[in-house]
Order: sequence, then C-alpha cells, then structure tokens
Amino acid sequence: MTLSAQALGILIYIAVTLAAIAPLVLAFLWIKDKHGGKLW
Amino acid sequence: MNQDGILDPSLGWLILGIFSLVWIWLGWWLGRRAKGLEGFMLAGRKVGLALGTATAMATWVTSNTTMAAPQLALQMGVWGMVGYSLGAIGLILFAPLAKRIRELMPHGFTSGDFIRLRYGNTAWRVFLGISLFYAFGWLVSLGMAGGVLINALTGIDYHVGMSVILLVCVAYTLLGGLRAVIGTDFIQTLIILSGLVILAVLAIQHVGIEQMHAAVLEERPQLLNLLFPAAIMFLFNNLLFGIGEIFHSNVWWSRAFAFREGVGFKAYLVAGIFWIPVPIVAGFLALSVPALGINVPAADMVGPMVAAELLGVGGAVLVFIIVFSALASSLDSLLAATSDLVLTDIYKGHMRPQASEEQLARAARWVIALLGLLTWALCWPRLTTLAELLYLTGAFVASTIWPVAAGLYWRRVNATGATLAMLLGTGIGLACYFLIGFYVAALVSAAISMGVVLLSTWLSPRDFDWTTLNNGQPRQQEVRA
Repeated sequence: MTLSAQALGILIYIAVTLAAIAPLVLAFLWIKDKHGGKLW
Repeated sequence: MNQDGILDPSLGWLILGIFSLVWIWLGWWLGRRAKGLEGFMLAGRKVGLALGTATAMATWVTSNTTMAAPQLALQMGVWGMVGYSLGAIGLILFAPLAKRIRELMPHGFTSGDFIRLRYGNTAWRVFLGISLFYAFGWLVSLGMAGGVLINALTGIDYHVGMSVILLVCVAYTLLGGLRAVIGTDFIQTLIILSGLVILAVLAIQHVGIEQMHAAVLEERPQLLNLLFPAAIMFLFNNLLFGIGEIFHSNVWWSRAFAFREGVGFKAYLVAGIFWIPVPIVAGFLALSVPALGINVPAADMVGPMVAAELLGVGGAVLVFIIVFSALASSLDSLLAATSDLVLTDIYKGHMRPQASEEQLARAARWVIALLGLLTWALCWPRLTTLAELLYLTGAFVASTIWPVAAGLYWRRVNATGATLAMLLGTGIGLACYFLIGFYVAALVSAAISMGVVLLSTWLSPRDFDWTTLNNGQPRQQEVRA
C-alpha cells in the first residue's frame, strides 16, 4: 500500500501551513497577554 | 580540530558567539524582576498563555526533533515522520492534567511533591529514582548532541562546542531562573518554526512534491509504504514513550505550577496542536534526498545536508541557528526543572528539612551550577553508551503513566499498587528491552503498570482525601513520619 503523490502533497502542505500559522498565533497571544497585563 | 564541517569554523564561532551573548543577556534581563524562591523557581506562578504555549512547544522541540526527524523519514519513510509527530499526543493529553494539577496543588513545586503527598515516602523515593535517571539521561544526551552537532555543522571541536552550549544554558538559567528559561523559549520557538517553514518552502519550490515522490518511489519505494512493519511498531512505542516522559517529568509539572490559573489546559493543548507539524516539516526534507541526488554519509546529518544543497551557506547557517535554539530551549528547561527536583525533593526533602526560603534560594543556584558541572563531566568522554541511556529510560518513564494519571483522578488507587506498578513496569519493560528490542520497552512497561494499578485498586481500594494535596504540613514531619 503506497502513499500517492497527492496524499503526500496534502500531508506536507497541511504541516507547512500549520507550522507557518503557529508563530503568528504566538505573536497574537503575546500582544493580547501584554495588553491584558497577563504576560507574566 | 575537525575542519570538515558544513560551515567554516570562523563563521560557526561568530554565530555561536552572537547567540550565546544574546541568550545570556536575555536571561539576565528577563530574570532581573524574579523575587524570592517562587519567583526564581516558578516565575511567580503567573505565566500567561503566550509564554506558556511557547515554552511547552520549545522544550518539546529538541535537537532530536530537528535532526532525528529527517533521519527517521529517511530510514522509516512517511511513518517515521508521522510517528515522530505523535509525540504531540503527550502534550495534548497533559493539558487536562495540568489544569487538575494547578487546582489540586496551587502551592506545589514539583512532581515529587505530588507522589509524596498522594502515595507516601516509598513511592516517592522510587519515583525520584526514575525521574532523576531519566533527567540525567536526557541532560547527557542533549549535552553530547550539542557537541556532536556543533562539530558536524561547523568543525568546532566536540569538547569546545559541548562546553559552550552547557555554559551558556547554565549561565542564563542561573541569572534568571524559570523566567529566563520561559522568556528565551518564546524567542527560540519563533526562530525554530520560522526557520523550518523557510526550509520547507524552499524544498517544495526547488524540488516539487511530484518530482520528490517519483524519485522516492523509484529509488526507495519502502519509504512510501504505509504497511512498513518496523515503522508502525516505532509509532506506538514513540507514542507511549512520549506520554510517559511528559506525564512524570518535572519539566512539565513545574510549568503546570508556574502557569497563571486557567492557562495550563489551553497552553498545553495549543502547544500540542502546533507541535504536530514540526517533525513532518523537518522530516520531509529527507524525502528530497533521492530527487536531489545527495550522498548522505551519516543519516542524522541529512537535514543540514539538504539545507546546504538547497540554500548553500545560508541554508547551513539557518540549520545551525535552528539546532542551537532547539538545543538551548530544551537544555535550559531540563536544567531548571531537574534542579527544582533536586532542591525540593533531595536537598530539602531528605537533607535539610528546616532550610529557610533564603537558604533554599541560595541553594537553588548552587544546584543548577553543580548539575551543569556534573552533566559536563559526564559528556566529556563522549561515550555513546551514555547517550543510549535515553533509549533505556522508555521502560522507566512509561511505568509512571498510570500511577500519575490515575493518582490525579481516581481516589481509590493505593500507594502499594502505585509503587509496585512503577517497579514491575520498569523491571519487565527493561527485560523486554534486552530480550526483544527497544521498540517494545515502553509498550510493555505501560501495560504492566496499568495491570498492576487496576488489579491493586480492585483488590484494595483506598479512599484518598484530595485536600491532602493542598495542605501546608511542614515537609520534615511528613518525611520523618
């Protein structure tokens, strides 16, 4: 049972997109915590 | 000195110097407001969601994740990198536990505190043995990985590279305690994620998924086989090993205590979700090896070699920065959490029960320095057998999954059952490690531990009072009782 190129592509695109979103989410949370006085 | 690194040694020294100074300065700057023992050990118990999520992610992204994921993809194919990404399940499953820990023990310091109050002194000492063995195994493997990777990437001598990375991490952990660790973890997470995404996008642009797939299918078709038996066994063992590592280790418990109320669950859940793609993004670089026609002499160097092929010197610099960040973010966390365990459970718990907060705050810094020194001494001979200790710890840590998880939610679990579960799980898991193979150790250990906890609870149920975990009894009375 071999993984198709299409399935490999989907797996990699989902992973790269999620990894690219993560720093943006962290930056957003940082700004939110900073403004709410809840960073530390 | 080995001059065969991917980068020129002088460029390696420049990057090493810049990042070392940045981390140490940040450690001092972030830690300057840490007040008292709680401020130093637990960042004042007020860490917010952003820093909480980032520190959980960064600590779990080790040099292994960035370097071993491509290696596993090259050896075990798609299941290698997907199996590695299942390490995130441990973080996700710890989310409700972190919430429960904070609720039951708002004044707790270490995972040892929980075991002592929940199961008594015998279970506590067995647990400390397991926990410290694992912590040293991880510390030594990280220290050695630092020296080996710096040497392979830049040609800087192993002993020099290992000493520098340990010295830097000890210095900023000493200066700023957990605040320094968590603050630097945030920046290191951004560096690791951004760097990996850049490398992945470039690999897709240069090689293309279709071409990558075709080349792998022609040269190494087993890497795309979804029924690759060794890879499937690795997947389950890695899953249980990861859960055992996270459930018992003070690295994760100290964060549960340090996070602001209501943050633990969300921080571990979000960190787990965003950790899933990291080994896949790092690992899939290896699948471009057949298409790029690279000759890989050592499987664990596949990541840097692909990066250097795609981006030249810039790619190798990027990998070096990612690896340095991944190493530092795990080493500092482990140093801080292990020193907390040694200070609270060994020094105060067994040696100086009457120690005041001021004495403990002073001792905390000595413990970090001595722990760093001991790790450095163990890393110096570069014995590969020491690094392999980490594989052995799978049997140890998986035996703690049930005593910890059941102990947090099920009042009927008894102390004898929990102690036997850890001892028998570890013993039989180790026997299977040597008799069958590394891939069954954690699996067998967790199964035995589960059986012992369930059977002993059924035979002799206890009615535990949860408020015991939140009482303020002086430790010396409990220890000597």
